[in-house]
Amino acid sequence: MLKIKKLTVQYGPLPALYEISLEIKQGEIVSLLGPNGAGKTTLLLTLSGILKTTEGRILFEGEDITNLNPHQIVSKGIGHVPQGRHIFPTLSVTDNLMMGAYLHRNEKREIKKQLERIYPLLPVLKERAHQRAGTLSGGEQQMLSIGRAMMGRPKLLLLDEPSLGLAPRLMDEVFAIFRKLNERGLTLFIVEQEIHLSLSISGRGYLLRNGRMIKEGSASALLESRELMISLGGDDRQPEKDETSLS
Amino acid sequence: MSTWTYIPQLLSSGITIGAIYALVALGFVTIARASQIINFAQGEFVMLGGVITFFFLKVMNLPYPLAAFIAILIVILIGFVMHLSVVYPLRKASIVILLMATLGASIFLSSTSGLLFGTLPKTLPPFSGERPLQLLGVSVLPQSVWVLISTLILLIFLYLLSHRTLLGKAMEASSTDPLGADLLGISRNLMVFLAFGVSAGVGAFAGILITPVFFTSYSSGTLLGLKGFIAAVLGGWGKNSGAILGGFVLGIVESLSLAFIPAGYKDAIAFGILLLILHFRPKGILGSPFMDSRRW
Repeated sequence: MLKIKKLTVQYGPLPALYEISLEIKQGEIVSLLGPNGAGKTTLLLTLSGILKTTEGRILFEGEDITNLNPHQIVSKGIGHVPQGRHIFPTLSVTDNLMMGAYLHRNEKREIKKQLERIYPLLPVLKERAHQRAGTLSGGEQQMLSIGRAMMGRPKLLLLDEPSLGLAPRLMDEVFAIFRKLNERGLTLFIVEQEIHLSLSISGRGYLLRNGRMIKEGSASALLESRELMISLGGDDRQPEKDETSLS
Repeated sequence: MSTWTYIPQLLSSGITIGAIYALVALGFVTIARASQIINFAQGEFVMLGGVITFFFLKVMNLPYPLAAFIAILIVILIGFVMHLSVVYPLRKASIVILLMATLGASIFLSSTSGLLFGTLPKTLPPFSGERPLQLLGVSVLPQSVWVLISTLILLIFLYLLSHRTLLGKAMEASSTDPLGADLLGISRNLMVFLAFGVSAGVGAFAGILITPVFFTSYSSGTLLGLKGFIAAVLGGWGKNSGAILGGFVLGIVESLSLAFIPAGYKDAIAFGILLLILHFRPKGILGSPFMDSRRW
């Protein structure tokens, strides 16, 4: 469904991403893991056309979408739930959802149908329909950001750290929603710091570090890989005998 | 006659000019909200509204409403062209460069207007009659009533446009969170483009309203633009309600000051207010989404 070939993105003297290749198949959930500053958000913003590629190609459903404008990419069926939610605080919850359907604004009946599909999954969006989005709690704002992206009827949804700032119980709730969306045929590409949670619903994952893809594999293989432990701090290893504790 | 007997009279003329300042300020805020840009050509839109209407009315002999309508359309077009030729190519430049670019556009527009339409001051006839109306013992020019009513209607129209239509909400969305909007396919560049059109239209409208009261000439946009900018800062930079409030407050204070100080100092009042507000409350009366109350 999505194919990235040798993608390089540069916006300073050094490339932020270097010859990244990856593939996501229809119906999959794929995790993108890596420490802070690895280039995960950069990759997602490039996929959405916010950042431009220096080299390499991005194919979506066989079509070259490299360096298209964001609105063209959204209309091809790639939704994006950005890090930090980026909801519109002064608009009502419903208006936020309507903004999500902006490119389909003339298809009133389809918008209504899509709302009816989203409300059972994210009931809070119906309960708080007329409230200003800025007054929602963090978890509710995350639900709104997800619902808003869903209003564009995406085929592939990019999720940038959806668990950030959420209480553990809410994280589970959000990931349960992702699983349900996936069961309905949506393909998901998740950037996460919550490795275990993210890999628990993913089939496969990629590991990014310093702008390079250093590992890919099935979720279970990744979980046991040494690269993952090292790149994320390696807290599962027992200290060696001659290693002294820092404290 | 003591000074105090002038007060109601000055108040009424203050409200009239205040309405104009409010519209100019609103033009500034519309563009600032969409793009963070301070468009110093805003005053030229006002000037062009008056001058182009004059051209179609007196030179082409078109009926007044038609001349005004065409002038507004032309100024909106100029706003669009300014975005496409000046602002859009510089969209990745820093705010300071954009600021200078709009200043350049302002000089270009006023000089071009001087070349095309002449540098002599121009005036438009009032919309209806010149005989002052007596309202509560104050004599009011009919044009002042026109200014106030037209401003109110325009404000209601703009309010409905931005709060009741999908396009208005999209502009709001794009101004509060450009990245969030871009990711939904709401193009930020398109919204800034539209903001320039709206701003230019509002400016031209203000110019047509005010020209029968004051003269206009190719160079009168600069001062009007600065006054509108002061009004926007006074009310709260970046807020529509602040722009409107700031406009009226500035107009009224400026006008009332005539009772106490020589008329030549009238413009200094506006700049004095700007200095005071920047020093004591930089975020303006209603507060600004772009500024906190810290001084720096």
